[in-house]
Amino acid sequence: MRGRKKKTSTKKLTRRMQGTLLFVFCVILAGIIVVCGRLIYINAREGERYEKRVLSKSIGTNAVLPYRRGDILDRNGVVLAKSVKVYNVIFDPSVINSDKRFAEPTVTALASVYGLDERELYTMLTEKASSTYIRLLRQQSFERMDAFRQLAAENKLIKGVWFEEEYIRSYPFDSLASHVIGYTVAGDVGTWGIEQYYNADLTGTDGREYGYYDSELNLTKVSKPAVDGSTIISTIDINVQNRVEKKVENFLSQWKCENIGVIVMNPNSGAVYAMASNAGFNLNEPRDLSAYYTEEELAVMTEEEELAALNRMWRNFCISDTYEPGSTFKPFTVAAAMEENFVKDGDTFVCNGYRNVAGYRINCNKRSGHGTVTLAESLMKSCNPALMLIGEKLGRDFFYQYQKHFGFGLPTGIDLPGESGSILIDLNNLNVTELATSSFGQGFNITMVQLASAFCSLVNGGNYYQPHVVSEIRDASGATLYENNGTLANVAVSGQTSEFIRDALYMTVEQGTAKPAKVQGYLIGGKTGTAQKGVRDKENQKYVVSFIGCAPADKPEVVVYVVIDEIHDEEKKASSSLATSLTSEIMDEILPFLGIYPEGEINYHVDLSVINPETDENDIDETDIIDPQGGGQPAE
Amino acid sequence: MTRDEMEQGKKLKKRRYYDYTLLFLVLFLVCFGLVMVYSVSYYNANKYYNDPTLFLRKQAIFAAVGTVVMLTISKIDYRIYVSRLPFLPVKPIFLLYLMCFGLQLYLVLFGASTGGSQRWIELGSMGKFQPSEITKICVLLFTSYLVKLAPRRLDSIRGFFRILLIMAPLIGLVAWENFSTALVTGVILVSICFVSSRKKGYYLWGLLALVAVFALLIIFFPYRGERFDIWMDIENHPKGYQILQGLYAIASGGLFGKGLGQGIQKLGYIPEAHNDMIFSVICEELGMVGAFAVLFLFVLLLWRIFLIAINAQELYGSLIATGVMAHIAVQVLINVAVVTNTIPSTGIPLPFISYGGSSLLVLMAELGIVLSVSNRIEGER
Repeated sequence: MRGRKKKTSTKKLTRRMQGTLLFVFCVILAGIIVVCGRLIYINAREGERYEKRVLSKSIGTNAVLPYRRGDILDRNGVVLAKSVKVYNVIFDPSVINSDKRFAEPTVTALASVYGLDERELYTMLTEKASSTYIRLLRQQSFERMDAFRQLAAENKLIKGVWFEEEYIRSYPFDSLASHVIGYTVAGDVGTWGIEQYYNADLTGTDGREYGYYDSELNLTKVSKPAVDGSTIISTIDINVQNRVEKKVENFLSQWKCENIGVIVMNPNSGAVYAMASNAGFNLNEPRDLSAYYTEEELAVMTEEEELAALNRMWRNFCISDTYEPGSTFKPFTVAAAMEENFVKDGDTFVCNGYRNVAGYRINCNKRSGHGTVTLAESLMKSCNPALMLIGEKLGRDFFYQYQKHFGFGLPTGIDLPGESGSILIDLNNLNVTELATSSFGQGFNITMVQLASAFCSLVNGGNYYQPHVVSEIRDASGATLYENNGTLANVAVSGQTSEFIRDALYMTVEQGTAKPAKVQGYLIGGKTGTAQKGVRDKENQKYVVSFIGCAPADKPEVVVYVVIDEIHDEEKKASSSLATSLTSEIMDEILPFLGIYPEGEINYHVDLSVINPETDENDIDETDIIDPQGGGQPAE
Repeated sequence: MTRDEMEQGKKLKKRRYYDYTLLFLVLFLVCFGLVMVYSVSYYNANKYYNDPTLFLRKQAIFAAVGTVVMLTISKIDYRIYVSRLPFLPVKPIFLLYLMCFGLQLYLVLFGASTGGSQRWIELGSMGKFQPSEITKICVLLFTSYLVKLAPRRLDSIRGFFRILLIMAPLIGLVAWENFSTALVTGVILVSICFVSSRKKGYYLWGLLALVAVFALLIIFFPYRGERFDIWMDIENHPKGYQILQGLYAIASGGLFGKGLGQGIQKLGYIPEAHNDMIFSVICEELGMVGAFAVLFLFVLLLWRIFLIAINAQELYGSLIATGVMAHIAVQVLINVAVVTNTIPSTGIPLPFISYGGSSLLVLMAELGIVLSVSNRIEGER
């Protein structure tokens, strides 16, 4: 064959060489099989473990950098709530056990700095020898952490103790403004008050620090810094709040009552300077009931009872509870009638001490009757028949419309959680008797903040500002994100009407039913209120007494509203003078803090038509108003 | 024309063989390589150069040029490399030897003057060129030539040393700057000699001697070199990071992988993943099935080259094919072994798939020569 000839001539690969080549190929094949086997081995043996590492990517360091929750400040920058960095002590026996020399100095250092029991630590080292994470202590101070770090820096054999950073919420004034500030759960979940309402702003974003290896195999640390929460500047004035709470505390030490609430507001912006409901609670220990109950009582409490007690303690009376306002509502009826030109200054009304409405006799606070009273005197003397007459003139449509117009019935939208709406008498049910009692503030429910905000609009010239407790939000770098210097919601009344009401209220304090509200050196205007509460019952009638006042009366800069619910005292239960004098005391103390100083000589002349301005002391009592639904005496 | 006539006509024509199977295998591997290079490199290319297709485009250009080079060389009779040409005073093979020697010497001198190991010659916009890759072709062709001249001399160890002596200056210079490449060229040389010698005894002794030296080194020198330490303790050694990340990739791929382009490890965890570590990403994205398929492709490729070596018309052609087979095989084996941490790490790219222009060009040129050898086979099919 031709091929064979060629083989000899051109030295073609010999059979032997072919065999060798086949051998080489087989060696290569064997090599490939070995690496295939190696691949299978890696997958089968280490697959799960390595895969986890890929998934977790926990190579190098990987730590959460906690953000700092924003502070809450009062209007002058005093810190009401802040977050403090604390340190958790982490014990790592696996590291300590890696070298026999580590255990002794580490345990000694821990014992000396943190006062831990050495024997317990040694037990942990042996019993949980391979553990890498035991939390020994929580929320320790920086000082101790620093002391331990210094020991560790001096002695290199101190190993296996780490510190985890964490923030805890701290309220420097404990219970002050507790219902407004609110508290947090787990350090960063706002659960009440501003803490809850502004939780999203106060909350920041956690950062993260992680290490990775660059192409030169150097461990490079990269950190994405935490974004701290925003700072909330509230409208609360800590000095005012403090005085108010002192006065409330003082009052509660003398009188027992169901609830007491105080709101201090700036009528020209709706900013709340102070808001106090009952005794408050310690924000640092929000579940601590010991201020209200004795240890024995707490010991026998069931879980439900305890929860009910807590909810009662946390409840913000000023915004959550509704009640019948009573006479403090009268200025609104008068203002509405003036706005619609049904009455004007100088109009007179005749009071016989009662008025028959649809078969019911509804009494005035003065049984003998006030005689003829002017429009201003109807407020000064808190005359019910006069108000009923005004209400009749106004008619149910206007009356209902104005109730709504002043914001009664609906939540005011104050920036606090837990605000209630309230129940007004529906227009269709607002018949003559209902209209008559409603005209002097009985028969429908409101909340404190509704009345206080509406009152602000009556005395400030007619502008209704939405009440608010936060004036500014600043981000972590200090830039202003939000500002609220007063949100005008609507125009409630004209300036003229407002002026009349201011003057009438001033006269009420000067000469009328609210004389105890006087404060030396100040022009005070205000209106008392004594409202029957709940079921009308002649023997055990319960009352809500209140006073709302403003100062200075000619150009109000502060409105104070005090409501006392059910005084547990038969003699004083219907006496609004308790609320009135409490307001007076509060005003006396807080006005200087708000930059309102006493005037040397009061020289303010009110030009309102009055017939008999002087009110005798007995007239102050506003009890025995007849309820149209029950217990009323038929008209004679 | 009837079918009979057509077949008769064909038979009359002397039909030259051309291994299209091999050609197809190579082109398939190169295309697969491009897909993988893109999958592996798009993240880093986008991150550092703001151009996801940067590496793909560069590699594609080399692949295109390489294909043209391969096809051209495959049509050139490989025997002209060792024959006298009318316009040249010496045989081309000597010129190639001298050129490689010159380039390697230049690198050594230039590298020494700048005080670092230098593997590349800058070619401006063309990128870098690695002369050691050409040296592989040179060693391959020159050794085959030497063996072809006198195959009988290899029957004794002396003949082997004679060839080694002639090639030593070139391999030595390569070893100076890059041990891995020197290892590959050494394997090519030994394979060619091994296949063509009739006495195999001294290879066995030589292998035993190498093993003994290596064993002694391990026993008597406590410091066994960093690479050895990394290999032994891959999980804890700080510099085992690259290989360890590759192992994570392999292990997390499972049987069918995460899907093409879905790998995590290439996202900055495996440094230079598109180079030597590309096989680990293949494992991660295509799973063990994909990895075995790639290895099977290589086995097929080697099998075709083996067949050409067996059937080549001359000894010289057979030896060239043997050398190319050894070259590809050793690179695949070492690369995969390093990636799977079977042997201590050394930087050797995966043929046809790893990113790298000169490596791809030279490999395709080698395949061109093998195709040219196949083209000399006369067959009646």
